[in-house]
Amino acid sequence: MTLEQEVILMWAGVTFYALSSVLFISALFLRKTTMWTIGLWAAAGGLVPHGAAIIGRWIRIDRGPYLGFYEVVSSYAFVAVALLVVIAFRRKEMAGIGVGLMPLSFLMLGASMFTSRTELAMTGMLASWWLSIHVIFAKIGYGAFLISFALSLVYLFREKVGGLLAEALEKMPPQSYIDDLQFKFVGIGFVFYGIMIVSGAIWANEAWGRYWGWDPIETWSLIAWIVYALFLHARLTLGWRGSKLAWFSVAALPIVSFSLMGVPLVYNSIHGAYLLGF
Amino acid sequence: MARLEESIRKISKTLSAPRFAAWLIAALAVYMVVGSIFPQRDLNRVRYAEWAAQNPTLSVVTEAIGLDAPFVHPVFFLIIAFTTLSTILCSIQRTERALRIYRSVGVTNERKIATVCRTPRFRFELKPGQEEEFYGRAIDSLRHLRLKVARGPAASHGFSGAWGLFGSPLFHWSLVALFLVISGGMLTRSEGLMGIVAGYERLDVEESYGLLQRGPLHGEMSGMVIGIESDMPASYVLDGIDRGPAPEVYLKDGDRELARGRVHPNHPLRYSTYLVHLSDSGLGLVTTIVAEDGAERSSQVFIDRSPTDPTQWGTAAEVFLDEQGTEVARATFATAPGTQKVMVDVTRADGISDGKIMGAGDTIEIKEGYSLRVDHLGVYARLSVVDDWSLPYIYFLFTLATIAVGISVLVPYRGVWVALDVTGENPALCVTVSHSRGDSAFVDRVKANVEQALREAGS
Repeated sequence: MTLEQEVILMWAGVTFYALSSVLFISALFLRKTTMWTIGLWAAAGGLVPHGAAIIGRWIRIDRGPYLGFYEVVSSYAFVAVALLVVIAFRRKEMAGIGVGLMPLSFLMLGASMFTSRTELAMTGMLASWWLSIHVIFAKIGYGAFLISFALSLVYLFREKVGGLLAEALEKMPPQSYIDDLQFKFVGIGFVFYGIMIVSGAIWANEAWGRYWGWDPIETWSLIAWIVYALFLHARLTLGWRGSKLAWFSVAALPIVSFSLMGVPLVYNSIHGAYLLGF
Repeated sequence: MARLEESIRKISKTLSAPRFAAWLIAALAVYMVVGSIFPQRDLNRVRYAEWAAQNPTLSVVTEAIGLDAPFVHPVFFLIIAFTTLSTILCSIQRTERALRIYRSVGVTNERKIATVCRTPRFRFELKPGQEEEFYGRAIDSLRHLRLKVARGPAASHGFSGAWGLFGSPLFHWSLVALFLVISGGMLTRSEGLMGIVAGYERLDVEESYGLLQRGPLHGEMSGMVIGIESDMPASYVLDGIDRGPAPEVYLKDGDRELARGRVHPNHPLRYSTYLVHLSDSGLGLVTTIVAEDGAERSSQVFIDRSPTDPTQWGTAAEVFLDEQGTEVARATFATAPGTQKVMVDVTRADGISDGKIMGAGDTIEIKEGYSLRVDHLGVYARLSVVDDWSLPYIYFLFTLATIAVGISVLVPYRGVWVALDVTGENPALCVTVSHSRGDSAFVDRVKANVEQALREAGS
């Protein structure tokens, strides 16, 4: 697959995700949750060209989507949409989480399209199978946090906003179920994110001879993990429930997003290669 | 004595309070955010110096409050110490609680009936004479919730994931062990940078290192031989990827070889608690001072690339001492463009300077009766040699903690006690529900299931 073909497929993915986002949000205001089903199919439709573009690039450059903002962020969007599609096709009433998830995924993929698509070479420092483990667990962990965020939005819409929006979300499972589910996704994300951190530490030791150096991206990954540890603690020992915890989940997502995508842009980090390619 | 005990009890209560633990975790996160704002001195000394030069006032402030090295600051260690203490106390509490609940799994005696009926979550009044039927139906409803049922004559316990009770204690104990192992590792590890000219060796002793950091409890240096074979490619290609310079490093104890391997990024040499990485490479030469009595003293000199322009070579400075440790001369070494030689500028102790372009075998007088000979011109590798026993334990404990938290969150203990209360005027069915994750949806499901079962039985 050529770069031109890949870009066309990516834009097709962006278009599908945009359509899906519009459908999900419109469904809220029009109170027609049948539109969610169409939105979900649009999301699933977007996964096809998006996935094809990722695989095509993978084959062409002989490595996974590990390097550069374009590859990394677009693959996060792919994982998020794929998780939504899997969850919502298994339990139709859960499709409502697309209201929070699809606009985010659309924005992520859209933003990545305006960044450099340079095919960064695999250097000796990066050539390690720890890279795959590190990246895979980062993507799954982040995907789980995104789902938890979307569930929290649904919870808060129903709890706080009321009116049309809450009525539109009535078909979703009861609040107690959403509350527990968003907690489960944080738990899953916490475990996978933890594995991401430890695999990164092992890899750092292999590559640089030290497992932890308080580099900004290491520090911020730990901050994000600690914030979610606080979330688990709040729920399990302080008895936080409902909207309090949902607000926590909403507030935690920007922190983990910053640790994954913002740190290399703001700090001088040895992890610059990850997003910026140096 | 009583007052001391009271104080210890109060401190222990405070440290083990969930709210205090939450504040500690939050404090740790906030501290890290603050610590990450400004450049850290140890992370990149050159970059830190540049930043300090550009921000002279701010750098004075950050240095004064320790933000130039926030993660070795006493305040950080204090938070970590409190977190460790709090985690230990939490671990004890959680273990006790998990054991208490675990021991009660399947218990259906009279005492349990009394406990369940004293504070039931739900209480259903039953028609007299049909209590056995309703009780049986209620137990069936527990099985529909996929709970194992331990059935007694008047009380039953439906449960699942009993071993999941130990997920949380295991997670907390793993964290405690992790804190201790990391601290132990920091106190006993050594990490140093050692330059070795290809084809030569050095000993693992303090003098061989250019930069050496040793924990206060690190024992003697091993004294083993660390050597590099003369064949050191500048560009080592493996699986189609250029790994850069890749020296073949060997470790020896006397004549006995301990380990050998080509060292490049992601491919260190391991031996026992030692890990040898390539940190950098450059030009290296071996020089010898020859005294008039024939005594010789060799040293290795390293020329690195210029930090400002990596396409150019920098210079190396060396102070030469005699057998008594008195300075004989100082010399700077630089590449001699267009030749395979090195430019040597010597400043004698008496102030007289001399310079010469030298190849292998050439000599220059550096003091009356002393000459400097270049023995070998080649390349060198700067090796990072780490002696740290704690790494495998850290990885193991972190993995254990991750598995434990996964169990705690994803395999929760679920328990429902159903007991018949026949002490009142009318019989009643008492139900208590516990869920280690505090899932209120489970409570709703238990209530709905039991209600439905009783309805079907005609209650």
